[in-house]
Amino acid sequence: MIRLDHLTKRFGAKTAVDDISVTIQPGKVTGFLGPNGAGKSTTMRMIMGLDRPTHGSALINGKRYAEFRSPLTEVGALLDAKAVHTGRSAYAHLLALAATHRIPKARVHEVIGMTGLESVASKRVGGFSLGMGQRLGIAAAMLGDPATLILDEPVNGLDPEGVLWVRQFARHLAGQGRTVFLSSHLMSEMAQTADHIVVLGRGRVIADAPVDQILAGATRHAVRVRTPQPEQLARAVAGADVAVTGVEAQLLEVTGLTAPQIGEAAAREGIVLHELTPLSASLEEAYLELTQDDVEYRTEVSR
Amino acid sequence: MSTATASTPGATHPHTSLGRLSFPGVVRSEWIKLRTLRSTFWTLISAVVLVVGIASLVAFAIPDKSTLVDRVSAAQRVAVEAQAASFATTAATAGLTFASLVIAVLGVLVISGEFSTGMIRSSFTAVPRRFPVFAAKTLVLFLVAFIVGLISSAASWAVAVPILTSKGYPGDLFSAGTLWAIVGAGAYLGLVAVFALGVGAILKSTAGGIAGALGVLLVLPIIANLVSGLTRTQWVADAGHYLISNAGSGMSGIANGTLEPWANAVTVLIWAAVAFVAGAVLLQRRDA
Repeated sequence: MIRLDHLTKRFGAKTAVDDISVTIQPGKVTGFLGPNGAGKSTTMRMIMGLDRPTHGSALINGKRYAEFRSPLTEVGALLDAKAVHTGRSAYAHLLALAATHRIPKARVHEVIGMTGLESVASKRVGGFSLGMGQRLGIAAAMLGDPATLILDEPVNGLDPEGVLWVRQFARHLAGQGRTVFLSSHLMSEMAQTADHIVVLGRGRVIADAPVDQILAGATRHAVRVRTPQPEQLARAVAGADVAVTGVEAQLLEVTGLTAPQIGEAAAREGIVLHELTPLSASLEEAYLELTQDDVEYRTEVSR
Repeated sequence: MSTATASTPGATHPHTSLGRLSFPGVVRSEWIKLRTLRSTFWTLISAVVLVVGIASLVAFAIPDKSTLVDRVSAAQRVAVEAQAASFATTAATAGLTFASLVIAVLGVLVISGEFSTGMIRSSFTAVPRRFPVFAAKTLVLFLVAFIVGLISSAASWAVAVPILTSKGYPGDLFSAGTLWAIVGAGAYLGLVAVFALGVGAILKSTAGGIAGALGVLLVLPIIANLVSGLTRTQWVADAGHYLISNAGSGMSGIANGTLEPWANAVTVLIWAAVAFVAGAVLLQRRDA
């Protein structure tokens, strides 16, 4: 379990992470979603003790990361695939990290096999593709067989087969009761991998909910209505959960009602309709909307 | 999609106790890091080649004592004789300055290479308290530079003394003075490495670190010499003896003003210690 409590990081005048309080549960894959620059990486770096919080705390199973007597067996992290000396071979890199905890060589070979790096393990990391680098980062994170995994953009640069592998791997680890916290800027990716999603926008938590709730809450169902009598129509469909927005002079978008309901309401009032189109925002659009205006949607989906 | 949620809540994964963080483990890790980089190999080889090679060149270049003495007038003969007594030391330590520059580059690279590649984040993830990483780096680097310095310095004496004694100059490979000079040269190279490591940790960048370390080792003595020579200010000349490179020459057997051997060693030690402490404090405080 990872507990972030009023976590804040300022770089000079810029606030990268703004008073985040979130709990990441074990046994689940928690997705950390947000556009580039939203503060995801900074948050993860603070959890790992690489950046010092300006305010607040980040605790893993009740402890700061630096307080663990055996950190690699508690938490495994892939913070960026480039956290490797380019002049060293993948095997030597893993061996050096393992040596700090006296993790046996056999385990080094095990994680190399687990991540499919056997054929390139003796090659220098400088020549690795981004995907190979990601695999090496995941191998390093798995060295200590940790109960908590923190992966920053783990599918970045992977081929489709690699993406699928990471997805299944994350699910498998969570299935074993581990805490799996992974970030992405792709909603579609998270929708397929995560059980729970935390959305970050401009350093603040916009949403923190189970994935289905996020999808239901964020996916917008609107109906586009073209009519020469927009005022009458707006009055006819008015209700507590209904919102009508004007797009053009004779074009409206109605949310909160289905297309048949709008059509029937218009028929009752004798309003002429030229168009009645159900719109369903794609996942990515919904996510963009969620992160574009963090204030508007904050109350809707956050708990 | 939700296979994980079906598992028992609160179930912990089969946590095998794979290992535990320990300082000897961190030292081992740093040793693996050092020996698995080609730059280590090349810098150490070139340090040995410089020390032994330049010593041999100088020893070969010095003319026979009889030729030297014949060339000068009787009045100057005493002064030449006095100079000739230290030719063995001059030759054997001639490459040390160059070797110290190479070792300094290695010292900077050991830490700046981690910053430039991002490796430092992996290192600090494995050892989040950070200081053990720096302490282990320092220990491993010191020992490696010390041993390489000791071997190459012993080799340079072993090459220079026989050549020069055959030319008629005094020299004793097994005198206490020679042995201390060899140990001193090794210790100096070890401490130069630590000093450079500290500078690298302070400046974080390879270019800056190398410029900083070589500036102190190479440029400061030149400036001190120039200033004291041009302005004839004695205190600048006196202060110059306390520069790390001059004190290092003192450690390896060359006279450094009136400084006692122990004073030379303490001076170098202070330079290394200050860089080490500043580097350690900054590593601890800054974001990685």
